[in-house]
Amino acid sequence: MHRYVGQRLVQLVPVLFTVSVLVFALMHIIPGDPAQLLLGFENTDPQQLERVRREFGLDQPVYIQYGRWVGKILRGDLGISVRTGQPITKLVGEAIPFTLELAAYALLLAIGIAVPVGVWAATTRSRLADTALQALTLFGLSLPAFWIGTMLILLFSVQLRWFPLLSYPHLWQDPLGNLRGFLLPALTLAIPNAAAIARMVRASMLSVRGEDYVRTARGKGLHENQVIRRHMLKNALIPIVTLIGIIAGYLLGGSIVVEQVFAIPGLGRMGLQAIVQRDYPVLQAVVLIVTTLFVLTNLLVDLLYSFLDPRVRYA
Amino acid sequence: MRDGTVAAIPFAAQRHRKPAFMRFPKAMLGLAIVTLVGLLAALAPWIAPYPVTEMHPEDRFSAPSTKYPLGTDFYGRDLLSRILVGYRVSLLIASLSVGFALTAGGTLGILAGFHGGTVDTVIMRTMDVLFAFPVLLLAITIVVILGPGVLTTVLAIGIVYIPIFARITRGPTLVVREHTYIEAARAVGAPSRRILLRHVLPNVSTPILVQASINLATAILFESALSFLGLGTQPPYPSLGMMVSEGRTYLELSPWPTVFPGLAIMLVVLGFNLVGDGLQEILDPRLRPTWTGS
Repeated sequence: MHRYVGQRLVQLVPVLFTVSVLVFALMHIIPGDPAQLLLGFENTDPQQLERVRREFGLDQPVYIQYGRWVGKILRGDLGISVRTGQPITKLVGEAIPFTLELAAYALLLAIGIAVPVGVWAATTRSRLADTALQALTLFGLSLPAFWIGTMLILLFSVQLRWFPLLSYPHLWQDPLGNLRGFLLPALTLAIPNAAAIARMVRASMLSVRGEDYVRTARGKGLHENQVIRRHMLKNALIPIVTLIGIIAGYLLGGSIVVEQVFAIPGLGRMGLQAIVQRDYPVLQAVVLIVTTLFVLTNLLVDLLYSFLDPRVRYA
Repeated sequence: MRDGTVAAIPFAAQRHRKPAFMRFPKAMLGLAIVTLVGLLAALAPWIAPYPVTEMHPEDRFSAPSTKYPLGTDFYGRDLLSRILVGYRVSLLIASLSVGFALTAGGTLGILAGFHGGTVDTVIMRTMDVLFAFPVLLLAITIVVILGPGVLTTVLAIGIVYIPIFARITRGPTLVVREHTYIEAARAVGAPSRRILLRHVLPNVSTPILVQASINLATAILFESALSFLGLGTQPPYPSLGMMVSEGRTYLELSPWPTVFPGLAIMLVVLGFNLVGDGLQEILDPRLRPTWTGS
């Protein structure tokens, strides 16, 4: 196990290196003078431009620029926002908790909805129930998240006024208010993913139902609920966990849209605002941070996967 | 089935008396929806009740009526007409981007699987790098670099989907490569190009087809999300995502400009999902439900 973890950590190095090179290249691929991008577009004073060029080493060869950039990041310095003049590290630090909480909340909701629904669809003898659940999950997969969110706002915040609009107190200051405020956004993000997981649970359960060990469990007189929970679900878990892992990573990126719909000041909204304001150093930082989180999530999932299925680590 | 290729679809040989829509209700329903939407989109300029940009200020925020079947928006523009034209943009972008990803990714996957060795390593490691980015973020970054527009959206979605098609073709190619008919083709001196096109491609096309129909569904969602964020098709082209985003501003005045474009997106995505799902079920009998008594 330790060897496998070590191997995976070593494999992480080239991936993160390539990601960093591509994100660094972003400032040079975006049309326009990098010094102008760093200074913001209003300021066209040639002396200022020259100062920025020297300060950021833009007159140096590209590989030296890259080295300096990576060095700064490793010391926790993501640069300065050209709009507000604030350190980006501070802005990211303020935004990250919102995005992470939204993703975690959505993942828990999605699993909580999907597993019972999927198990029920796979084990019911009722044609109507299975068809209805199949149709329901297919609908869930076909809805755009931004529209689900808007409809939830329309129904629960505008019409029924059950949920406060755009109120996101900190988790540790007002835990209940926080969970309430985040419920609609998390549900929005959860619905399409719950549909995908439920379908996987159903398919995976159906694929193990004919196995010998299921027949044996029934044969030795176990209660059907126990057969389902202890023998079928446990063996059906691996593809389900893989999908949940993929979704966990996806939620980080997918939260961009939901943050925009619900005006949550997370990383995604920060990135979108940076695009509108042409604050490219902030955009660069957001792409770097979200991608790194995504890569690390995928690593965690692989490790979890190898823990569940010993065949993976000895392959 | 020429040149000794095997039948890729096992059910083709089975004879059933029931017509296709009863044997495969899901796939057929999906096909019907997709065909209907496709026809509506193609005929939009002729069947739309009003020109898309024509404003009727006196009829702002009309509810659905006989005059405006789905109501009107803030400028009094007919929602049905705008949705029909929006479908054109959605379907165009979705099919072009999936076509691009399928061609590029499929080619890379077949080359990687067939040649193996260094070619395989280089191609698949490059795909891994693309996979290291969250899809929406990668697409947004591409839009920022190239500037928003129809072509950019096609490229952004296409590039994001390339690794998916590369992976899905590489696997079956590895299996097909070892078959006797490939050896036979080599023995009679067929060049690699001919073997790839005539013998490998037809035998790996089934999983590609299923993947393509699923990706058409997600591409439409993807395009609508980009245009919702203001990074997709630009005004005055109506696009379904942008319509939802515009409608949201006036949600408390009238829900229709937000509700109908969303339902329109759902309908066509559902159609493609049904086709993909139906195809998968036809090909993998294990997914068939419990009540069929298998």
